[in-house]
Amino acid sequence: MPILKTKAMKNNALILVVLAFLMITSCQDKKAIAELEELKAELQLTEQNKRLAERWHNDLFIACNWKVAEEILAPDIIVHFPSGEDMKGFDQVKTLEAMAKNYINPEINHYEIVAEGGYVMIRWDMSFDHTQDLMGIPATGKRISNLHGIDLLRMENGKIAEFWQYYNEMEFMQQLGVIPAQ
Amino acid sequence: MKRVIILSFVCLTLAAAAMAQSHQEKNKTIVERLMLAQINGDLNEVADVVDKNVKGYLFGEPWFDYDGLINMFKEKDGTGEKVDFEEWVVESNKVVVKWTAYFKTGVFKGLVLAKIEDDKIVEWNAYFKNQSNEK
Repeated sequence: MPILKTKAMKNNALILVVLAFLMITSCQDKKAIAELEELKAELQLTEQNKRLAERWHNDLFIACNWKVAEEILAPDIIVHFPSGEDMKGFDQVKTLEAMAKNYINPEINHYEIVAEGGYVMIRWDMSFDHTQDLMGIPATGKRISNLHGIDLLRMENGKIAEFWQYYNEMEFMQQLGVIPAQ
Repeated sequence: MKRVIILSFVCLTLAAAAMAQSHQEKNKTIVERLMLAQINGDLNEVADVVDKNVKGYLFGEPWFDYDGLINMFKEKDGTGEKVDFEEWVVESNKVVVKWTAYFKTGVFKGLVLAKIEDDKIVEWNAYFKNQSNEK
């Protein structure tokens, strides 16, 4: 009888060990799958943010389609210019539409797009025909080209919430004839 | 059996993601080291973190090679007081940093995109503006 008891106890212990193992594996299984789902969602969001960042140039400056501005720009958007000046709020940023319209035959190449979390960087160059007055600068009739720049965008709730831009202002002003070429 | 295969796949994917993240952190540190080295005029750091075939660009135009970078670091006016790192964006071997640097020649703000290969900087794309000129 004691032998039978020991055997039964051993069997029970074995069953308990197997059950515990299955429970742990199952928990880890669920945890791992949840982590994978989280990773997948992060990657999807990063890709969405990249596409959204590209729309800043493609929709607003190439297509000059400011009807979609509300769809892609946050109401409290902040645009930081290289000079350190800021443009705050959707209405103020929408005034850029007038400038965008004066970029004739614009072309913007995106060389690199890097994204992580809510941030996206685009390295670009731009060309356009300066056949309309631009920011008070009379038209030169020239093709402005090879203007290199970089943008950093912060996304929030599927919209562009903050924007920083640096470009070769000296080169730009020289091509526009504002300052003499070196 | 199917469950074991799926679990193995999930674990491998997560392990790969963790490795990639740790690699990205390392790449970020490499860029940070070079930027701090410029502030401090530390030439030893350059050899440690910069590839001999590095290509530097300023506003998309060729700016420096390895020797040019060394010469830049040797310039007295090249050193500065401090650099603030404001935002980091790291994806794979590409590191973007938004920074403000306080040099003897003024306060500069800008963005850098660096590319890293085998723990060395192989490409440096800089875009910045001297804020002191704006006042």
